[in-house]
Amino acid sequence: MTLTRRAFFRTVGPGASAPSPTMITARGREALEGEFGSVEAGIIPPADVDEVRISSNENPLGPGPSAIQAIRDNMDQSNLYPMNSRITDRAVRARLAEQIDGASAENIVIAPGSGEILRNCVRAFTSPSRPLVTAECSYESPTRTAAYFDVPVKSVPNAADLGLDLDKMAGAAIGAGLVFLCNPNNPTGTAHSRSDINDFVRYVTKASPFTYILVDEAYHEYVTKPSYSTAAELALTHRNVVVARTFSKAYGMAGLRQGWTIATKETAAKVRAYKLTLGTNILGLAAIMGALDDPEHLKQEVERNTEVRKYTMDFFRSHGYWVSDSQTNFMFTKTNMPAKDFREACAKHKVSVGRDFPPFEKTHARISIGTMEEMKRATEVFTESLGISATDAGAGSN
Amino acid sequence: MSQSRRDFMKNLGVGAAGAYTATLISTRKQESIAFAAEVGLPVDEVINLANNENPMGPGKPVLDAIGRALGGHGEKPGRYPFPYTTPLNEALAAKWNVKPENVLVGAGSTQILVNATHTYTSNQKALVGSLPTYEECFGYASLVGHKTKAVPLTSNFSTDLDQTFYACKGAGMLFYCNPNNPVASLVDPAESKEFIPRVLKMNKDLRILVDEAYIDYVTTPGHETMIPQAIENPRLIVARTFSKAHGMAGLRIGYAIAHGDTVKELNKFHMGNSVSSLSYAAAIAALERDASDPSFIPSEQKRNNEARSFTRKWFHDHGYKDTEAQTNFLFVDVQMPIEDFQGACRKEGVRVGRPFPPLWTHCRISIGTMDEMQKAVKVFDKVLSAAKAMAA
Repeated sequence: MTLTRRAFFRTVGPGASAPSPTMITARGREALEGEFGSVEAGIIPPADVDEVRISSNENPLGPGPSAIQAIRDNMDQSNLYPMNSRITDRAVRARLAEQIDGASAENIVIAPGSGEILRNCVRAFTSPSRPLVTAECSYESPTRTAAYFDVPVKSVPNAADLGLDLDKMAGAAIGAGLVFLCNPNNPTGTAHSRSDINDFVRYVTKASPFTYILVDEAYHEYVTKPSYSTAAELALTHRNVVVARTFSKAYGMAGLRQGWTIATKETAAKVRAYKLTLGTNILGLAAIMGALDDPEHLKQEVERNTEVRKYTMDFFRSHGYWVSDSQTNFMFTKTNMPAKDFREACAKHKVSVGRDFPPFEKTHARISIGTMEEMKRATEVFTESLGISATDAGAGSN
Repeated sequence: MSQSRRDFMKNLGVGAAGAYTATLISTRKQESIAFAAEVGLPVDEVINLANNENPMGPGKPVLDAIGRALGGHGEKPGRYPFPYTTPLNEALAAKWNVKPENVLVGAGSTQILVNATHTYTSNQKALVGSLPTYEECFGYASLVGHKTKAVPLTSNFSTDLDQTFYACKGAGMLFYCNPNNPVASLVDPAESKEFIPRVLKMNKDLRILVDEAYIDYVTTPGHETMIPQAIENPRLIVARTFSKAHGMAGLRIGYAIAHGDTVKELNKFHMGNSVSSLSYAAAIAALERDASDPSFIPSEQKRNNEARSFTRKWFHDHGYKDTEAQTNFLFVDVQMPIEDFQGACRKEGVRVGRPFPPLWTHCRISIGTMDEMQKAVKVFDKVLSAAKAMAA
């Protein structure tokens, strides 16, 4: 996103055209299909031992040793509710607050996964007369919640680099209940700079003071782009900004269901109102404490991911395929073939890649970053699935 | 609960790697560190009887299963829990002799209660329940502005079936917590069997959510689960939990058994992805253990019943009336303001239940181990005697 501030204000200024009616859609039944397929169906079978599962942006290595140790040390607390266990929900909130300058436990809400935070923000801040604004190609969870509650959705097409079109989203935000800013964005992997987010928040706060902005930073730890930084500080200083984080990605705890949010005290209370009572399990809480005690492990995980991500992106680029500027543990690449066909071709070799991501499901695929060993095997499979021959190398196909 | 303080500190230490299999059964002494510090007592001397937790924990096979679910290198928690969902649904279906489509798993039965309230009540269709009862459904209904009708208990603290019947006219859902938390009492089994079909017949739109969280502690002959009726009748839902007799409150896992159509309806309101893979693995292991060791739940019931009988007898011997407890807690009239009783017990290192308005002199006291209850009654004696002396 190289948007200059001047251009930003020009595009979202009073002269900016209102979002077209076609942008205002509730995606309906299709949108109710989750990240993992239908919840009512059998979903994903247990992984084959030799399956390379690079479909759900999971961390293949799991949590670090200190988190695992904390789980083992607290298993004997399994009979205790999270307010009575050795490591309480309250203690974890206080510990998380230490991660953010100027935050205290009242600024933090913990939930069983950041999914609940996203759902509860939609519930708290939108209504049938106050739409949700999101990007056309972004994480769909808020859209699904909006559809359930009959909240109109303004889906703003992504920018040319498949990042969020912050100008158009700012325009669409006027009068909206909530803007969902997934930064970095899933499934495109792109991240916006702190100054772009600052400008966005400043503009929307002024132009539409009752519109909330939810910045989903699920992949925050994996970002390597220097101009990026968290919006947590904005969340502490703006009543209308909420930041969501998760332990599912870089911290390797997708199975443990722990997410959290940062907001002003008043806004945190609004999000907390919809929180499932005692929703967070005590072993996940213990794992958070263990993980935060070992920042070095997180650093190593980020370095590992960055290296494997570069390897995988280089593979595609060297064969002439366009890839987005991934700042996450997955990448979005233009395979020039339907995602379904690519997926099925890879599945034949026990490599599972991401599902369809409309409107790019005919041309693009999302590929999670596994271990280096897994990605070496996966790229061999991609070579076959894409029909790459030696002579294709370097032949542009953007 | 004979673990010494030294053992406890050792288990807490950094040398605890792998020690979980040796410590196995949990002790609630450990949770009480903060509380002990607050009241200035050694951690061995504080007892938590406030939250109806099972002091024995889930047992070794379950803790072992959690250990296995971490994977050989601690890698498994990196994956989402989805591969566990079908196996647990199947295990629950096998346990209850129902189909997997009759099962809905949630983060504690709490999530089931919230979902049912969300789905079957509205600003026109009331939620009906006893006053007092477990507050989750009423709390959610109030949050989202759904209509509520709370029916006071009868003079002997039982669910008032006649008044509940009338309150259900035009209502969306009856929350039928049986045994009822916090009052510990059970509806007479014969009356309950007659009441449920009668009220469902009277209001053809009514759903009944039967909360059976404490059913494993019921000792009244003739009381049975409503699960067989629930799978036949789309308007009847049974909520169950692993938090009580299975000793897994901290793992946050419960479930509903209902007609397949009802499960589908409940599932429409996002259940999310809120249950940990470790909790799934624990629940599956608990069900396997129940199948291979049918004495586990009966022996937990017996243990609880002995400590419950001991505690009830103490109160009776000292002139205090309680309800006919069918749970792992008591509901007793301490004849003094509950907040004063609670505060005085806390100073002595015993936490008891919070107030349950409008019953301002009744206390909910969870049943710990026999050892804990023997110590707790000494504290109750001290606190109640002091109050009587003050009054005299």
